Amino acid sequence: MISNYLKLAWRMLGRNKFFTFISLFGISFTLGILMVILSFLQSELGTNRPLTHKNDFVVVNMLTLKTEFFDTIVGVDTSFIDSKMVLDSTLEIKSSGSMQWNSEMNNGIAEEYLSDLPSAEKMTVFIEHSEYDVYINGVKLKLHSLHGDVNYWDLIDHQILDGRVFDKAEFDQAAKVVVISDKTALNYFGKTTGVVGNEMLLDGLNYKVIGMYKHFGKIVPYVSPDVVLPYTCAQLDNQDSFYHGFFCTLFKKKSGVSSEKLKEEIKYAASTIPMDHPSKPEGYEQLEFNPATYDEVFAQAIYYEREASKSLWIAKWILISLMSFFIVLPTLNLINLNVSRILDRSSEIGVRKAFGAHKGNIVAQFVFENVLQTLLGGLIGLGLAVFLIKLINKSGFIRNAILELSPNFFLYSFLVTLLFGILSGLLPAIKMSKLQIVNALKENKL
Amino acid sequence: MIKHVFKLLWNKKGSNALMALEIFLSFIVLFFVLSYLFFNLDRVNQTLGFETENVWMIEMDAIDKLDSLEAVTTLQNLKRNLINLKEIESVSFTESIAPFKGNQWRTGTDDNGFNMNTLMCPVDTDLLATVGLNVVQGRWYTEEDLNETIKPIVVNQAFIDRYYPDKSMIDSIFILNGDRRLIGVIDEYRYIGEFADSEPTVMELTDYFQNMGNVLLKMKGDIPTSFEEELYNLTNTTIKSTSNTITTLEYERAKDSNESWVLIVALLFICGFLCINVALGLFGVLWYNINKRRSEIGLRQALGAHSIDITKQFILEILLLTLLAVGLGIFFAIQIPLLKVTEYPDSLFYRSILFSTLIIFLLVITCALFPSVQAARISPADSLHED
Amino acid sequence: MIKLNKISKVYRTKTIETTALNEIDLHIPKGEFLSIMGPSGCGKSTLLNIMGLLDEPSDGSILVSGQSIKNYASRETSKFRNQKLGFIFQSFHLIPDLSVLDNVELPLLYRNVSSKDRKQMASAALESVGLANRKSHFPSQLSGGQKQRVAIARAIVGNPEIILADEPTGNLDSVMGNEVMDILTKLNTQNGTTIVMVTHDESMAKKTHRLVRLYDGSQVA
Repeated sequence: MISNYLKLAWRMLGRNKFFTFISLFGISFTLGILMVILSFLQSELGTNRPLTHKNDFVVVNMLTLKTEFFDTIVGVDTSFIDSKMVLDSTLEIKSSGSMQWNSEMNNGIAEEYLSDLPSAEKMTVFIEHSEYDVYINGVKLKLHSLHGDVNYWDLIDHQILDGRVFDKAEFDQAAKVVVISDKTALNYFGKTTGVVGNEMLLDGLNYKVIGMYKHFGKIVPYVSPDVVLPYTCAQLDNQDSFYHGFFCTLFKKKSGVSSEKLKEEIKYAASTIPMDHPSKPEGYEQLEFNPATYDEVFAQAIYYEREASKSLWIAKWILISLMSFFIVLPTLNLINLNVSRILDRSSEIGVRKAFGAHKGNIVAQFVFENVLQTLLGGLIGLGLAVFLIKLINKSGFIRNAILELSPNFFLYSFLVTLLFGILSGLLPAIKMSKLQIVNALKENKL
Repeated sequence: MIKHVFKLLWNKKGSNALMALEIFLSFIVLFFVLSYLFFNLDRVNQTLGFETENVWMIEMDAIDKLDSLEAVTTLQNLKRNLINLKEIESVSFTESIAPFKGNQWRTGTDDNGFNMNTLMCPVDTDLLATVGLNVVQGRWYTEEDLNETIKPIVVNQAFIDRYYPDKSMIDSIFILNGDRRLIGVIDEYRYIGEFADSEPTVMELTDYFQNMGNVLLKMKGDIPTSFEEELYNLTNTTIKSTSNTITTLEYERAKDSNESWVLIVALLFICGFLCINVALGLFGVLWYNINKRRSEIGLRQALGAHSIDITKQFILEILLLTLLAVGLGIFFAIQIPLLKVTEYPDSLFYRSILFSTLIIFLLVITCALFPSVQAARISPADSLHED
Repeated sequence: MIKLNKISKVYRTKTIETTALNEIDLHIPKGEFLSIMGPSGCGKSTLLNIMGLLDEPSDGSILVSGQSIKNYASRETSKFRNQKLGFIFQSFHLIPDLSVLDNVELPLLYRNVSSKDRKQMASAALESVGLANRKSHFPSQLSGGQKQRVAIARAIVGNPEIILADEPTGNLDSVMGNEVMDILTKLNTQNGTTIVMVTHDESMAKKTHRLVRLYDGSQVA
């Protein structure tokens, strides 16, 4: 049966080349673009290295000091009870506004109050967004640095290509050591082998290169620095502030507990932080953390809501509706084409039915043919996607992003293709299967 | 004829509905994409109000460590050293608010019930020459302005247009974080970026040799980037800190707008593809339908229809169908400006509706023309006797 | 009314040259009811198409209603077909997406007739073939005989001088076929319409004034 269908489908493709071209053009382009989008999402939000533990992450990147102002409204109502006037006063307390100061936090506060949460397996604090200008033979190289602690290497699963990462002793002594990415090695030393052990001049100080990791190129934060140094080496200028600072805190939750639980614990920890330190800015009374999972941080960049889970929800729907809008048009197009094409074969359907094919057989046959055509289009689309991805990566069209082609990507692409094929084939096939034998056998004339 | 064609469409509504739906959706997609495109292009096309060419910027990080007296002398030294370089024409200090850096400072003032929401920007006297601001009314700051008891301010044209559109406000005094005297109007200073809206902006002269963030440098002509290292070393030795970076406004401008351009290009690419896809699909379906209706065409010719009548009929059919679909699309699209769903100007959406309609009709007519002309060529003798 | 002068029609493909008609001379006076017979593929339909100005002869000249035709694609030819000729086909050729009334109105659509007059004329034509009560039906709801009667109504609605019928009874049983023949005969006798009919059926041909037999593209009787 299958080989019979296969032969027929193949002949159908060849029968009207122009229509086959139109269909394949639409299918391959649609799927190609979908695959590029898939690859982007997969590269940025998949659990591939170095984001192996991504789904266990909870981030606190902001410390909020705030005060709410309240107005007290005194209302006096008059009412009549037993024809006597009675005064009835109410007190209403209303929030009339608030004052907020958001900033990254001091590392001390994180290490003292957040390091021992029951649901957290590990925690790291780091400074993310400083830059170094270094000059090599008069050409400037901008290096994005990350100043971290030892745990950073456990949470972010960097692929170490050479050497090692800094250890506890080096961290405590503020040793002048640096771990660099292979991209940095190439830019700074002009090579990616034998760079470990060399010196690197950063901010006028000599650092020893002790290790090299693979650069993945992602927009998402914390994973694509050019150099990583112990934060004890950082020149920090507001160490007198107890609350605000330059640090971001990243947690890995214990397996088996929910991220929500960890978030609750972080929020609770905020309330245990004393508000009487002399460095507290004037007028602020409350301290808040706004923990978010890694995906939620990404979502907040698309649509900012203070409540991180709401951000994720909205961002998800924006994405889904955009994608489905994008898919609906080509699908409709293909359905239209298929309806026209299948009509041409009404006599074939008539003959098949006359010889005992039932509705299901007919539907199966046409869906099968369409899926086959879609798979062919998907193959072309895959070629197109690989080409586009290479082009995007090479041209640096999306700054700092490198799109990956992983096995998962091929799997998802295949699934999307299959879905597309079934969707666009089903409606015309059902329509056709309803054809009456007698009408189908009649010649296609007025 | 139109009535006749309408009858044909109506009696085949089953298969026509899908086509109409496709055209309708294409219209909606085009409408949103064009709205987004026009919205952004409108902003990019507005003047930034300043020049980015040959303007460099030093970002200083660690100046907070110095006490205020030390900071003042350090920065005065830096300015002197920089201006002495033969490559540099003009030097301007700004606080952390610098072009394309993402920092912004807004303030709202209530002057006896008159609300002003403005973007604030601390400046020094040299900003005018350094980034090439355009004074359209009054004058720019001089050193003496620092000593005035009522602080003078310069605003942009958008400020005047929004709050005082009727009369010249030069030398008027109003309340904006205290009493202020307006001395000049510049056309624009959209320092947030190319894709930012034009907002009422107040430039406030600040004696801020105390708290520095960024230094803007107007270079004498096209200085090679190799000069950066010299500049970097000079800055480091003068302010005794190494956490400085040097960049150019051209670079920052490109970096700042990259994300928006990526989205625009990606959207246009996808939209263009959708249009081609829909066009090919329509073409295919029309071509097919017309082939299926060969005997109808032959019959009409036998009954006295000229080939032009046949072409006209088929084009009219598809135009009418398009009109219905686009009409439905316009009905939905027009709700956005009518119901004031967004705060964006209505004209934006009307423009998108107009252009979407034009593009759709152009697309449809192109696709319909060839098959319709082909239809007219069908010989009645062949199409009526296909045995 | 129709004058054919040495009409030939040759179909050429790359390899084969087929002669469909070979120097046919035929004169059909006004008011005649002529039938053409012959085996399949003898060129009857081609001859009818040439008389109906649907097809161009390879050779020879034709005079219809006193007019010689030069440019088959011109407006004048279309107009001429519309006003002077009426067609009836074996397989009816009704447009399935139009109602009976709309189908009958079709020829009037290509003249400048107001919509009201169109309706009136189409109704009258339908009445004359006895289908006044089927106006708003669609072709798929009619029997074969009814369909052909609609086709006749469509052919006569524009008051043509000549009706060309290509096997009008070919798809009908004898009862329905006779009905259709009766209508045609009546048209011929009452209105004086010239009718040329291609047929297979000897008994139908006998009801006409004159019979022309074709064999392999040539007139044999």
